[in-house]
Amino acid sequence: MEKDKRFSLSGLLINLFFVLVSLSMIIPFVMVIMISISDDEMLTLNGFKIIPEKFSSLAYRFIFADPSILLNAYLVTIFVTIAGTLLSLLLTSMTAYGISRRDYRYNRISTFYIFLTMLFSGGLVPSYILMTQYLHVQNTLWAMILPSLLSPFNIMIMRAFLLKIPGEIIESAKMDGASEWRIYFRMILPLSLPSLATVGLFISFGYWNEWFNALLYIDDQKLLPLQFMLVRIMDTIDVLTNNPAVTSTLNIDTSKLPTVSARMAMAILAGGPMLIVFPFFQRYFVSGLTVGSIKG
Amino acid sequence: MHASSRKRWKIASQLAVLLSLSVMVSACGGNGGNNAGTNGESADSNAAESTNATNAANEPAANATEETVDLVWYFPGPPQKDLAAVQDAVNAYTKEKINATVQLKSIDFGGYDQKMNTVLAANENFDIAWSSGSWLLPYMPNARKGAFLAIDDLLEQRPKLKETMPQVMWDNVKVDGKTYAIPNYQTITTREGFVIQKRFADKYNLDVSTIKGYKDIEPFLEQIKQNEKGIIPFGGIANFSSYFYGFWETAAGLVKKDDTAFHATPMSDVAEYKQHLDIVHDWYVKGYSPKDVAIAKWDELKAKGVVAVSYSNVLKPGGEVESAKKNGENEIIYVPITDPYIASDTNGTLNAISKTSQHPEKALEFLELVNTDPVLYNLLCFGIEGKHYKNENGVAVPIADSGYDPVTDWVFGNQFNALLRPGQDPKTWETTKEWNNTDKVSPFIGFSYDTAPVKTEIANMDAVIKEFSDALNSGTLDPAKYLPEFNDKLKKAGAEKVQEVRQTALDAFVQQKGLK
Repeated sequence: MEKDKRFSLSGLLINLFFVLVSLSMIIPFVMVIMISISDDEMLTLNGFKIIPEKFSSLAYRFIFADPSILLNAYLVTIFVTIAGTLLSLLLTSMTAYGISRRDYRYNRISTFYIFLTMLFSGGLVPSYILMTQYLHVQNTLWAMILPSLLSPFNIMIMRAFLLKIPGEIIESAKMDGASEWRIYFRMILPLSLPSLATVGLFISFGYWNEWFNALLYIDDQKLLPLQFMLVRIMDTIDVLTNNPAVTSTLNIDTSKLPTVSARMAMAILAGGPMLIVFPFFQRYFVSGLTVGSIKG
Repeated sequence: MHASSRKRWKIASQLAVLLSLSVMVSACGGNGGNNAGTNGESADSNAAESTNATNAANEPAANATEETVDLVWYFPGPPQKDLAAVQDAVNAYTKEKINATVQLKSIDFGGYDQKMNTVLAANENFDIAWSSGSWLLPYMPNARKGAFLAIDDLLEQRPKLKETMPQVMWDNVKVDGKTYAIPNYQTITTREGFVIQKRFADKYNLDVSTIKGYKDIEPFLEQIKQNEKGIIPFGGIANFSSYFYGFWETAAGLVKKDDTAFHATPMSDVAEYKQHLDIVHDWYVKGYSPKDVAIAKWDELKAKGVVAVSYSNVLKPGGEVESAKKNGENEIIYVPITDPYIASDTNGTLNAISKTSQHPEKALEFLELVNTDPVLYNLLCFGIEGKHYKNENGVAVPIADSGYDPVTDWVFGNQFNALLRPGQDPKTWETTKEWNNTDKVSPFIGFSYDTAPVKTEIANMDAVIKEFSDALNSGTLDPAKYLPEFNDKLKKAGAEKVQEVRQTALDAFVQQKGLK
């Protein structure tokens, strides 16, 4: 029973297991990058290889041949992500703060009301009718921001965090004559930074990957987000290649469809920025949700 | 305390501004061109007074007293940068002709089904939607669901539109005795045969007149295999052509063309199928097709131009141009092994009027114009002359990177009004008309049977068919061993029971049509 064994079988096995898990996540990603810089001819004839048999920058040249469309889509996505995240964070934290206050008489019923929407949703058609026939937001950026502005799941996460903030803080602030707004902006928000960062990351991922609402509500080519471009290409290729019996009778110009490597290049361009953003939020996840503000 | 109250005021006012802004933007943002119904000033007011309201129905002269109708038309297609310019040109034209404008809502193929299903479920007001036979937004189920308007009465007032197509088209478009859409008239025949790259045919002096069937192509495939490195002699699957082997294909199985008893046999049970599989398996063994023929991505391989010969069941007049595009711009020749014949329904592509349309008469008038007026039709297909294409003696030569070249002529309307595409045979439409008037028409068009009593068996059979069909038809499996196994599994799945139901239904159909 020696404790400081340098080598233990179980340790090796555990390490090996995690090495395999890591590889299974890294390899597909490396594949995507490699395919995007491979020569298409080789891909069609010999299939995918981790190390490209023949390098080619054609895919990226194909995409950047008309950079204005791509740039425009980038701008739309970035704007929707930033505006949507900020607005969504403000509203989410306000809602969560409201229902987390123990001295708010209807906090239970309000919480339940929000929780209920997690179990039952109206479905696609009512929300489509609301968006197009009552709010008339089709063909505006709002169509992509509004639908996911408040997610009950995020509200619940924030509420759980805010419940940990001792009520005495609010009490003492009140004694000092602070108003409700002041308490919220000056005390609660700074204290809940870690949870704001966490939830904010979820929200911003959601907005960055937004395409479904664009499909439903946006016809204007100038307002299309980046991810929708990618989804559109993929879906179209699917629809056209899975029904050869039908599509062979119709004249569809498949020669203009992007190649495999172009699709992968597109995926990298669409996902890349978020990969860079992610590490900056990493520390908030690691540090956990600790509150160290009350002394004595 | 002063500072704090000022701050509080600041925050409150900022919030107020934010909220009011969001309300404002959402209130006046989404009016995507819905205010297009402005009344254009009529240039000559005399015309309005002299128009006789009674015979204005078929007069294209715009009536200045009535409001311009704005129609909404949903159809699929690749996204076009310059669609707005084309829409303006279309509207200028239609406003003058029929006093209507149209919003062209082009949705990419991938999203069309989902978007349209949502639009229909939400009962959104729109006028026209493109529909297909069995692919995107399928015609029959949606017509039965009540998504489309029955237009028989309205059609009576549009004799010009009725004349654009033979009666068989109007007969086939009926669902439960009513017409719910305008079919887009195009090639309605099927013709099967080989698609061959011209450069190889020329090199080896291939005499196409000797090719009457599947076996006759073999010497040519052998030459390619021996002499052309990196070229696949035969690409894809050589489908079993029931017509070539002397059958009509029906939903009940294959029926011999001269069989007066109308006895249907499942394809896997006829002797000719076995013969056919022996041929393609032989090709596979000799290496005319690659080892992964059943799963290879043939579209991509053809686009590389490495496939010498392939098989197609839609050889149509002038189709060689499209085929060349799909084969890496290599010139193509067609070598048919059957006559043109009409095998199945003719509702490949249609335009239907929505149940929710506020102006069904106008929508139909517009569709009539699209189907009868080459100017409007070619505007939709090719864009604006001089901007998106050059008209060179009736050939539309696209201008590169012009921002409009959807290549979806079949979406809009009657293809016989189209300009030719570069390289297309000038006789294309004449020949198509000739073919379409063929007397080789399957007597079983419109036959279908109620699958409900044998749903389970059919599902089981479909699973078996899925497992075997590509592997058998591509020649990968040896038919001597696997065809009996295939039939055996089908029997276990309940093929006999299904066949009984099918035969009964076919007999009833034949009785009803008075064929027997």
